[in-house]
Amino acid sequence: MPMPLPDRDTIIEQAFPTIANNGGYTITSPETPSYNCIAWAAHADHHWWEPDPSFQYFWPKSVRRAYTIDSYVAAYSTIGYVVCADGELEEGFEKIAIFTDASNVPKHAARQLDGTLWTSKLGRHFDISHALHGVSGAAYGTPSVFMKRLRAQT
Amino acid sequence: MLATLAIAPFSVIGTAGFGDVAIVVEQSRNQAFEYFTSAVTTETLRQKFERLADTWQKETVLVSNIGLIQSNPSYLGIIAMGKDALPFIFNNMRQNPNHWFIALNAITGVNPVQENDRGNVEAMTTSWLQWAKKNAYATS
Repeated sequence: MPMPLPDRDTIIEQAFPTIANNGGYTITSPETPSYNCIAWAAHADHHWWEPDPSFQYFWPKSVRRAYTIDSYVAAYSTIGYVVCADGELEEGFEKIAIFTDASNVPKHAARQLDGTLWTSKLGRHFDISHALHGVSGAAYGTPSVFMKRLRAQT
Repeated sequence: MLATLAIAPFSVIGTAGFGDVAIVVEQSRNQAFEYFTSAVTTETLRQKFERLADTWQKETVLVSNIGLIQSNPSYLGIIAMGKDALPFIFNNMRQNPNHWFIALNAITGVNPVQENDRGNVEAMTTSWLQWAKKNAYATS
């Protein structure tokens, strides 16, 4: 029988101090090192997506491996996403947000669930649902690029 | 006696007015002595691995970027243990698969993971545990 998921987590609340006042969060899956936020945003929960130069992890073959926003956008483009203006809900589309730090280096990605909630895998920790800006801050930066694709393409 | 002779000249230099270079040499000798004696006398290899692994896990659990995960000082500390770390890494990943692959590659110089399994943590773990068994690192 799977372990019940906790209602709260101190690691999350310490890393994202404004999350409680920013719509809160719900833990939605057990901890696992099997996939990361970049994969989770792409609906992949059996691979860790990583543009590591040592070629040990998965990255779309046609995309240059680099920790740059261009590389991440190109990776998501391989599964049908195109850059869009914002994270507003659009009928028939699902959206992802790529978070970057002040140097524009990708730190995180989240996937839109509905008009208010997004889903994120937090490193090797839990998946959570949260408001878009609930995980903004020092750890993950801020959402800087949004992409969308037709919701049927899963 | 030999050890005393090997160390003594540095102490002499450090107090004999040889300037900044002598001071740096003296400080380096003291740091090296402290490093080696603490590693040997106060902490076993297993304890050292567990301390570093625990710190690494806590400090990087929310990080999704392997580049940052592998550059954590505790992770680098485990890599610096060299082959001494291998039995502990394999035991750890047998119980709880985790991202030891960069460390294993750095220590052993090999990568037994097939291209199709890149990023599949379970398959990568299986490949490394098979490699460990083949190379007599597996304990169970």
